[in-house]
Amino acid sequence: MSALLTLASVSVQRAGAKVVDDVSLTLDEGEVVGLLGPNGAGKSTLLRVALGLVPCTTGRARIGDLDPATADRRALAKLAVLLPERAGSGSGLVVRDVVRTGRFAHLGALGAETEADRRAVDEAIAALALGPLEARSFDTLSAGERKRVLLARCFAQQAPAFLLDEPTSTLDLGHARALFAAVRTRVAKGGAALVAIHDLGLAAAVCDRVVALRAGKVIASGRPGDVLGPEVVESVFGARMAVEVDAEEVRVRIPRS
Amino acid sequence: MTRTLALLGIVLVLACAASLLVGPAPLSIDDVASALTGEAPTWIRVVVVEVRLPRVLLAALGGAALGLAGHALQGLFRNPLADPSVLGVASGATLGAVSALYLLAGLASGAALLVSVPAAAFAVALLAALLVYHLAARGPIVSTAALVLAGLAISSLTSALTSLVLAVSLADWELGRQLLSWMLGGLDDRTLSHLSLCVPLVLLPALALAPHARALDALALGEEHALAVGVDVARLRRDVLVLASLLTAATVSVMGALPFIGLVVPHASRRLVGPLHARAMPLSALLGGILLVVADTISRAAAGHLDLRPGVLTSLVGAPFFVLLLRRERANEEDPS
Repeated sequence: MSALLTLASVSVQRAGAKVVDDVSLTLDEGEVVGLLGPNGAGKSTLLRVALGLVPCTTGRARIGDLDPATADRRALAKLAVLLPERAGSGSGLVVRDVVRTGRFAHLGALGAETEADRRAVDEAIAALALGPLEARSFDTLSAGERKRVLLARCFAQQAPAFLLDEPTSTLDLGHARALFAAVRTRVAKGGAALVAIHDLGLAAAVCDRVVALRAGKVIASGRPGDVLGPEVVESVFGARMAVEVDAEEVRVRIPRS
Repeated sequence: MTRTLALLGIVLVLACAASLLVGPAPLSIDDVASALTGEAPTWIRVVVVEVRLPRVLLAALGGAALGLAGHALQGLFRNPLADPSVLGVASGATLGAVSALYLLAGLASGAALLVSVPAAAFAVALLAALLVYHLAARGPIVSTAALVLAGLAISSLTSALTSLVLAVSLADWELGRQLLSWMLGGLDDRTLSHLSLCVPLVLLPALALAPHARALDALALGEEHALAVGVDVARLRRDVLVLASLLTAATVSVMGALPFIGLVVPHASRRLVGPLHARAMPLSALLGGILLVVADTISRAAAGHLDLRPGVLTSLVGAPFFVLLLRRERANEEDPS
């Protein structure tokens, strides 16, 4: 197994405060890793560092062999996709054109599309069941629909490493499960995914491994069943709850208030 | 889309042809046609081919450059109010050109002026664009309000400096008159040498802009989105800013300031063919050309009765349109959905 993504002792300082504090993690082929933590724990920053959108103050990040801070953006885009937390309005672009932007790194110098580009876009649209929305203007969609369109863009990009920032935060459970099924299929074909996610139950159900962050530091990491016990959950989220995982199912225990 | 493009291409050719008929010397369609085929008497050939034709082609070229520059800037700033004149690029180019005209007056020959004026216009235009951008940009987001305010600030500064140069130059009445007439914009007395200077200055940046269409599409979804799909956003920004400044400076240095063409035209072409830059940018070039050829034709038709400069005409059309856009933009901001 080779690491698609390596973060080694990464720290990020912003306005004097450490947003990410000495985080090391690797993403190996074939695994789905959940990045857990409360708001402001540094999950988004960590994903941005991994793709070179934010420089690390100390430590180093690698996508394959590339240093994301200095590497050619097209080369990076072929190795890793990032779903940012927020996106622009699209200025009237229709859904299909938004998904097509995912092919940017694959196009020739003159921007001509090949059959492979069109097929990748078709497949991505099918994978997220966006066929009926294809010709709709992106800025007229609901938040959840937009998210699925942006995810389709990630699929169209056809890079092995998926870095997803809150991909399911605006999705209903059915679409969230469908999304992770699609990610899992991609990962099985030789990829990997690092997913910042709020929903502990969903994380436990879909991730092979989870990393819990608090105030930029890794508090715990390992298999969901081992990490998400009451002590870690309380210390990370400040909430009393427990997640139990066995071979068949995930049980989330939340005390009634 | 190709049909719209072809149709507007025909409209541009017709507008140019109609424009060739207009001028102080009353010429018929037959006169103009025979002048173009070389059969007309010499004086008609001179009027049509050496006086009117360069002027009409310059108008088409300048309008196209402004339409294209405006479209690229609106894409780059993700902002429908971006435009060479709003961003201070045009007034920067004016300052550069006026300064060059003033400093080189009496020193240089006509040929040296022909090169140094555009060069100075370009340098100051680019400086103005960079200043506005840095004033307006707070992190990756460039807000409409910050952009308009920064553009206003830089425009005021460059306009004040232009006035200073003008005031100083008025000591020499003839030089002052030249500068003033030039600042008002227009295509009077523009010749073949202006045209041959303008052609490469417009065509090269226009062609260099074309490969950026896809990247500008990706940028419409935000800077992080663009970076994530492989766009080198810093390089894109630098390239587009330089190319748009070059296009603006090329027109300003030859025909003075022509406000609002770059603002109005991109909206029309996006209406016609949608937001994809590869489709809409060529259309903006055509529409810009048509608009300026028509404005110049009107201004020539009015000559003798009223000195209606093309820049005045474009402002009369563009300023109300700008107000309309501002109102719509504010309506959008109030309704966040």
